[in-house]
Amino acid sequence: MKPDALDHLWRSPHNQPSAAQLEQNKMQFLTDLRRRHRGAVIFMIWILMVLTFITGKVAVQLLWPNPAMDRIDPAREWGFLLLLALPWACLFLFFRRYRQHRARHGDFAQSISASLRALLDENRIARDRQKWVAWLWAFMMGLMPLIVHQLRAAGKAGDEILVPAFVMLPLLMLAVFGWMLWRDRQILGPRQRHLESLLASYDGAAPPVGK
Amino acid sequence: MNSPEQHQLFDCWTREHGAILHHVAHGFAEGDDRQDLMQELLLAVWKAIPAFRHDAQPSTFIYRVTHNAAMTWQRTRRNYRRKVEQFSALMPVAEAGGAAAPDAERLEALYAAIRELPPLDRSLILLSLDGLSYRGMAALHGLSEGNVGARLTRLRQKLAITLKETCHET
Repeated sequence: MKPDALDHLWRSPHNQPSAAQLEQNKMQFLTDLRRRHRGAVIFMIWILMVLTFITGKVAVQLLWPNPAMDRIDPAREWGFLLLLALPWACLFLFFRRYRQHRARHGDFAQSISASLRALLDENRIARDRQKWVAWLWAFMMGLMPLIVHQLRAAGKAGDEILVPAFVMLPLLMLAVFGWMLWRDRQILGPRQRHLESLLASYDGAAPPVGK
Repeated sequence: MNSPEQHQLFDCWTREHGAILHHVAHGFAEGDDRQDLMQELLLAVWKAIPAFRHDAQPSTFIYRVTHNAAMTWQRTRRNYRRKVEQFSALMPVAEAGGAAAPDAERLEALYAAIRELPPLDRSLILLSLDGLSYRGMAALHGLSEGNVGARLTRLRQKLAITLKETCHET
């Protein structure tokens, strides 16, 4: 096929989408978008609400103790306070890493290769974030016997805390670990290899991530 | 950018530059996967709209966003099954039946040959067929003009041979 014929074929009406088909795709997309957006917003609000509610209650009890309720004694119950501080510390660290990533790849819109480098960095951050979350869970589990001991010593919990702390929480932790491992092996790992091979196709001369 | 403005631009772009999305979806995916990729392309355009600066050409912006999305697109089995079900219910019946025109057959052969290429080459040949200049392609991909030219010369030859073989076979 000659180049002219190729260009003629490319401009033929068969190579143009029909208006009806485009409209159908667009409508389907908008329905999907609304669903995704709603789901993401609900999830974020839910996590933040729970964390803020618990932290707020503890903070109020610490600052303005209610005599009718058991007083929180930081000297005796620091394990619980540490447990509460950990997710906030992680959230702060994730946010700081995200800001650093944005600063490093400020030029990501410049070209497709720059976008690919930014995406690769983002993928690496997502994998690191999973590792941090795994360590956070492991640390929380390590802290659990101490928290249970402190709460029982302070008379704020009895035997009823044993099953949630040593059976239900470890089971939940295992489920979260399993999900993170699956995501790393099935999604993030293959995506990283895919992006690395794409970048290698840019002559193999692509500058390294973050530079 | 507020949502009504985003909706307005999205509507306008999908209407005026729908051919770009169509070419990219066909150049990077086949069969039912095309619908999956088309959704990803629309999502990429939608998400990118707030970053659009009005001094730039919308078509250049759409090329960058869609080619980027197509090159990084990976089909996931779950999405694939869900979207195939949705679209097989939505697709017009007329497309399935009837003899295909010679142009349509040759186009399908051309797209099949393009899909055989590595992602970067695929993107370059699609941009070239859409009439983008070497300079435009170089800026879009972050390559030098010389590199784009050398790659495209090789790619067009390769494509011509593949299509010649396909036409002889059929």
